[in-house]
Amino acid sequence: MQGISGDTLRGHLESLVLSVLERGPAHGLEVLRRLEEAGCGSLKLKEGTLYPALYRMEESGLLKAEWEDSPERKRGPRRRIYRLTPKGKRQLAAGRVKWQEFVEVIGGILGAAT
Amino acid sequence: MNETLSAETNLALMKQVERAVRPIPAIRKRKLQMREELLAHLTAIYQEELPRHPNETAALSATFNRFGSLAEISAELAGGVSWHQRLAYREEEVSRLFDRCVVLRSEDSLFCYTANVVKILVMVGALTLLLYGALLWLLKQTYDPLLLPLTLQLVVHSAVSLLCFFWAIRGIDQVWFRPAGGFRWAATAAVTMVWLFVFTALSFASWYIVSGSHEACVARTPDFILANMFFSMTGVFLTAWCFHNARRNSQPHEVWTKLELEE
Repeated sequence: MQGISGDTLRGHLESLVLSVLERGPAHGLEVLRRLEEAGCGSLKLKEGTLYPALYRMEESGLLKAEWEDSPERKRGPRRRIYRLTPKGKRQLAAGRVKWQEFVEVIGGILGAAT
Repeated sequence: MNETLSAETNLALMKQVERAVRPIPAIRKRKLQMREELLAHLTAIYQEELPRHPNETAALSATFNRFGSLAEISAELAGGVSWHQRLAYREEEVSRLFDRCVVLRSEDSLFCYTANVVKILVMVGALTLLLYGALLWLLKQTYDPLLLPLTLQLVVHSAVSLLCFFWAIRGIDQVWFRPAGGFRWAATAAVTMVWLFVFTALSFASWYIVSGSHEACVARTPDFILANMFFSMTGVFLTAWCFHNARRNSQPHEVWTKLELEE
């Protein structure tokens, strides 16, 4: 399967991040790992582009972030742990409904064409 | 610095982060947070890439490739800055501009520090004269030349008082807010005593200038003297504390802003 990257991915990135954070709080790198794992290696995301999305979602109250406080990371730069807020959970549920509708409509059209 | 990385690698990673973050119109605190988080991520990628490549340069190159286009990241980060953060950023820019004009660092030599204080006094003095002139003009009043000696005395007294105030701040900052060995309390007490004496003398001098008689000065009550001592030294400590906090807050930020980014 050809990798999914760039603009194709960008439109859905926020819903994807919300979805992987539903499994539990995670830092940016862990979010990417979960996305890769869930996408079976087909998602080709430039890693730095995750952060603008995380910050936007934090700003709009979908996520809450805290600095990691683990003793083994005392010496290096700290990471932030993101978790879903109740608003984020509602957004995820709404995103799933929307995606289902999208798939049904587009799938119907594309299916009919083939 | 991350101790598992070489200084050169850490610097290269920091520069890469700074290229993305520097153009963003966000406040210092927010940018610092972005920098630290992005650096943590880049460091983690680099540590993953290092065993897969023959040398550090190749690992760095792979790290930067995985991280993505800096222009794109920077533009997206800037796009996510809310209007109130942009407003706070502009406000911060103005205060930075002021900081550049008026630099008071207690670690500077006494001469340099005094020269900077004089610069501030001249600026404040010029502004006061302008305001006073505007007030006279608005009230259609003329300046009474008979008041000239009194005005001059008050101007000189204010300048000396302010100079002493700033010297006292420098003294307190050096003995109390900087690591000063085992005599911190004793040194602070000594400096405080000296400046309490100076400020009391200055308050008597101001009273003498205004009233014009020794008797009026001597008649000042102990309450007045104590209040003056209390408020002058409280002002000195509070201002020194503000300077100390501003310096502490700007230190982590300066590590990044002083990075030289080659095009």
